[in-house]
Amino acid sequence: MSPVLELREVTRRYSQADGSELTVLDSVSLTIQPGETVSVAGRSGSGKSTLLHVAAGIEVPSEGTVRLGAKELAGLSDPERSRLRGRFVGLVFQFFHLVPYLTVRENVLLPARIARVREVPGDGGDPREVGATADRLLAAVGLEGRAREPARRLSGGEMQRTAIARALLLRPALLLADEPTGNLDARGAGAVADLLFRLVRERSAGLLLATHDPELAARADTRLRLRGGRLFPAERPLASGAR
Amino acid sequence: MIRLLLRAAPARFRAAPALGLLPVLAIALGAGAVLSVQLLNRAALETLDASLEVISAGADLVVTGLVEEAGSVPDEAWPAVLAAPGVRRAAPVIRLAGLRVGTLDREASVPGWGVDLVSGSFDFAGAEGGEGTLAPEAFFSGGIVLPQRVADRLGVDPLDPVWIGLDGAGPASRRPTLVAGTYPGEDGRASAFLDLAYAQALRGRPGLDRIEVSVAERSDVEPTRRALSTRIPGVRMEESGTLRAEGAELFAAFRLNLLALSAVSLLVAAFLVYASVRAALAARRQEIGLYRALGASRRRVGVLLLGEVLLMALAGAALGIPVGALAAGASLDRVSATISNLYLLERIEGLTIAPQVVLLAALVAAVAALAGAAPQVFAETSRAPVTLLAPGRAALSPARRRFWRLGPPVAGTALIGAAVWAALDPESWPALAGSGFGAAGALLIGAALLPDAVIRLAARFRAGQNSAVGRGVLAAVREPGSTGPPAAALVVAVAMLVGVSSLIGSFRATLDAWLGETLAADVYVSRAGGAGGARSIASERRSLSAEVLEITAADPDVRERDLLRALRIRLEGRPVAVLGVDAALPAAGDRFSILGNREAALRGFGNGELLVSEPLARRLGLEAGDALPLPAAAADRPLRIAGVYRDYGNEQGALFLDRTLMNSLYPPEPGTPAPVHGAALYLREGADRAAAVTRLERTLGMSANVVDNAALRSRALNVFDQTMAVTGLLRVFALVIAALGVGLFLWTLVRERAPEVALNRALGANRRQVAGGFLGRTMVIVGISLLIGGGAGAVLTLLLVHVVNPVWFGWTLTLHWPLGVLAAQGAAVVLAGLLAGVLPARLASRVDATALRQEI
Ligand SMILES: Nc1ncnc2c1ncn2[C@@H]1O[C@H](COP(=O)(O)OP(=O)(O)O)[C@@H](O)[C@H]1O
Ligand SMILES: [Mg+2]
Repeated sequence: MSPVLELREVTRRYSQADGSELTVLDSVSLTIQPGETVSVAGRSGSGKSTLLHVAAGIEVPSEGTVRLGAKELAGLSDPERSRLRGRFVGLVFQFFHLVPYLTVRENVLLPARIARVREVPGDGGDPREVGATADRLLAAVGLEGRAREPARRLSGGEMQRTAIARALLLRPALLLADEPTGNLDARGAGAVADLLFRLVRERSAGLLLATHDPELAARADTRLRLRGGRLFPAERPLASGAR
Repeated sequence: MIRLLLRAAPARFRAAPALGLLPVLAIALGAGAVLSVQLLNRAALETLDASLEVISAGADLVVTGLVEEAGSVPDEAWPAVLAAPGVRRAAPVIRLAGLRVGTLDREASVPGWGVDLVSGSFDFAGAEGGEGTLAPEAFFSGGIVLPQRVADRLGVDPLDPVWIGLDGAGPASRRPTLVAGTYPGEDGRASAFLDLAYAQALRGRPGLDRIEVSVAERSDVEPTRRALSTRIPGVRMEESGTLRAEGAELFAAFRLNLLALSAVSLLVAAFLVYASVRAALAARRQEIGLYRALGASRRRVGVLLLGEVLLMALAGAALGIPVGALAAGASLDRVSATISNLYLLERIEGLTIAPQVVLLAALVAAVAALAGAAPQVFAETSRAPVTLLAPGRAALSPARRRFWRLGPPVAGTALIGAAVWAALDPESWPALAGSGFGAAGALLIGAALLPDAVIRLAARFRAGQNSAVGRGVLAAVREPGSTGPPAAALVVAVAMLVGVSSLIGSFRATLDAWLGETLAADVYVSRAGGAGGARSIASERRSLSAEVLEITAADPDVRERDLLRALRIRLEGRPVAVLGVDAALPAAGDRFSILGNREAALRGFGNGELLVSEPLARRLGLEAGDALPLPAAAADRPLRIAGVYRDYGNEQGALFLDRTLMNSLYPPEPGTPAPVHGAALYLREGADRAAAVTRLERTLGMSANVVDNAALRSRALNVFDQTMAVTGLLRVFALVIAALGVGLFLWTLVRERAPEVALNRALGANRRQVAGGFLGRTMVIVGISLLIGGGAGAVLTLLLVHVVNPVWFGWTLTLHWPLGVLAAQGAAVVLAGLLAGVLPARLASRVDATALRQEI
């Protein structure tokens, strides 16, 4: 089986206002196999979001190659890349990013609407009606009772659970989560983390999780740290002073 | 804190130029619209004023002719006036309509007067504020005194050679002369002066237009007036000052129309300001929350924000005023054409930009801006600071109180209800002056309040989410705040387009039908140089030569001839055309479209009674059987009115009587035949009309204008179209402002919604889909505007046709929907709306998913 994500020698530089260049990612290589969960820890500003954006094809690396499944991103046009991102990748953000005037269920269904699909692969690979899938996901994240509520009325934890359901709707092979608990209180964060790992594992999707929360990072199969633009293995949890 | 904000303003502008520019542009457009209409109105009024102005300082009475004709006061009246008891001074005056002055390479139109300096009765220096230079020898030998402005434009100084001539008389009639002097002239008073005798020669006829009289003691005006009336028959006496008031009244309807149309532009602009301030404030919600959190009071922040809006209003006014002046300049010709067609005046000479008008425009802009901004500023400052600061929810629209949700549609429905009542039952609607316009205003405001509610109703919509456009539609109906304001602006513009176009369409169709009904003769002959038609014949006051009369009488194909004599009188202060035709002519009846009992009216007309036009009857409250005293020297008894006829050719009023009777009431100058101003020829059965026209044209040559009735009809329709051209301009103006508003609004929406757009991109939408979403939003705005605006426009049409028009113009119009025009305008609205959406959609498609980063 081919990896779901493969970054090879990826470098990302930004030009700064004074003309100098800031290297945020420096020859980063990373491979994620189907069903593998990977966490990336690192200080604020260390480049975690940039790494996720490059992986999603939202940002283009300055050097190096990115492969999503069998496809190399550099060779794709914008519509092709958008299509691949919509179907192959699920995204979860720190600030949830729900569409406020849509209902919870409509938010969950949004990726299907954009991709214009009426059916998604079910657990056994058999096609399932997308609405039924949305309802199952809503039940799985515990929001079946609030499906018809406008998203703006939800609490933070509920918003993030909605976002997770949305990210998983099309059964993506890869889930990218950027500080998914960063904006939640401890209880909400725990619930969201449980949900995220359970659902990802159930679907044997790959997960790339950016977080500065050591407890959350520790739940991944593979734990990495981003420092100075480079990725290092982070076998031990952070110094206990941080807790 | 104020200083801090002011210092930060340039940086804020650089960060979000569109948000800063948008309100400024909106205000500029509104101020420009107001200014241009005000300028045009004033220019029109000045033209009228110039022709009615009493030019002698301190004149108490003005002696004019009974008939509104050039030279209608006989020359002999002047010595008679001077000899009357109580008269201190009497200045004879003639008005040179359409005077042109030129050098070899330049020329200018200027209001011209013939005055008498030699008697000392006209005080040139006193009348014009002194400070002029005058070379008397040059003046008395036919030289012209010019206002400095005109002299500068021509590049001439005193004693330089110039030519003078009258508009329409052709280059052959120009005469060489000298500049006899110049004077500063105040604004609006920039006339040229010529010696009386030379002015009469230039005009080619004797007679005075009026004599301006100063009485010895101011308190003795009344005895002097009585003395003058008994001594001098065949003239009319007016207190000076009444002339101008009458003139202003004459124009009232026209000016009100323009004003109403510009008010529509202003209304649209106010919505624009509201929308743009709303967007600008929404983008700064967190900043406002921060100030509040840091301890600034609600009031302080509110005052601060309104202060900023005021600054923007001033910038907008500064930008809009030149635009308005340019627009006014560009449309001057059209307004001029309208005025000379409608009111038989000379053309407008030029615009003067008076400081008070500029000030007014700036003031209106500021008030509209503050009014548009206040609700939003109030809403933002009354939020709790914490909701303003919450980042995840900052973009969410607030849950509004029920009052704010239900208030506008309820008020809107009530306003529309009142307008519908007025439109369907004009009789019971209070017939106050301006109440029709009031109802129209209520209708437009009411319609503008509806989009929000309609959008809320449509929010149940959920179909079509699979297409990007469908999702845009969904977004638009789920978020009334993002659709309502631009839709409101467009609703007003659409309603106005439909209403005005349908009014004009009804008018044109009625006119066309009326022309077809009443142009009974086959061929019409008038003096060369006229536009044709009874109206312009009356205005020209040029008669057919004896030779023309002979040739038309002798033509083998002519079966009957209907000769027309025209002159103008004043009835209750307004000019009225008196038209004499051969009442006994067998075909006579076909010439009139009679309201009411046709048989009786035509029988009476044949027996020396009057037919009065509908506008005249309405204005003076006349009906068949009433007696109407005509101001004529020989009139010993009032004439009976036989009936009322439809007349769409003359707003001021006209009446017909038998020509023989007319000639006895208004006898021609001794020794001359009664003038004939037009001839309508009825051809023999089977005669070739085109051949007759060609033959007559050939024999009459340049001395007359020959047209068949089809050509006359199309000519009259042309004049009508020309007259209405100015409203076309204002219609385009309103549509352009509304489309710009929609475009600018969507533009800010793109900026405001960058995270949402980015989210779609992150979820896999491509650029086309993002642009499609904005297209969907635009379609909702346009669709709602067409729906509400079209309905309101239909009601507005009924109002204009059944309420406003009869009160202001006195015509009965048949309702006619110009479907072709309306369809074209609908297409224009859709096109304008979509064009307005194109740029924002493109802008949106450039937003990429990294825009989400701001919040991550
Ligand atoms: N568009 C950009 N231009 C310049 N610098 C950027 C841009 N986007 C991010 N950066 C910089 O890249 C670094 C990494 O940012 P980010 O990936 O968001 O870090 P993290 O998510 O780990 O907090 C930061 O120093 C940030 O300032
Ligand atoms: Mg980050």
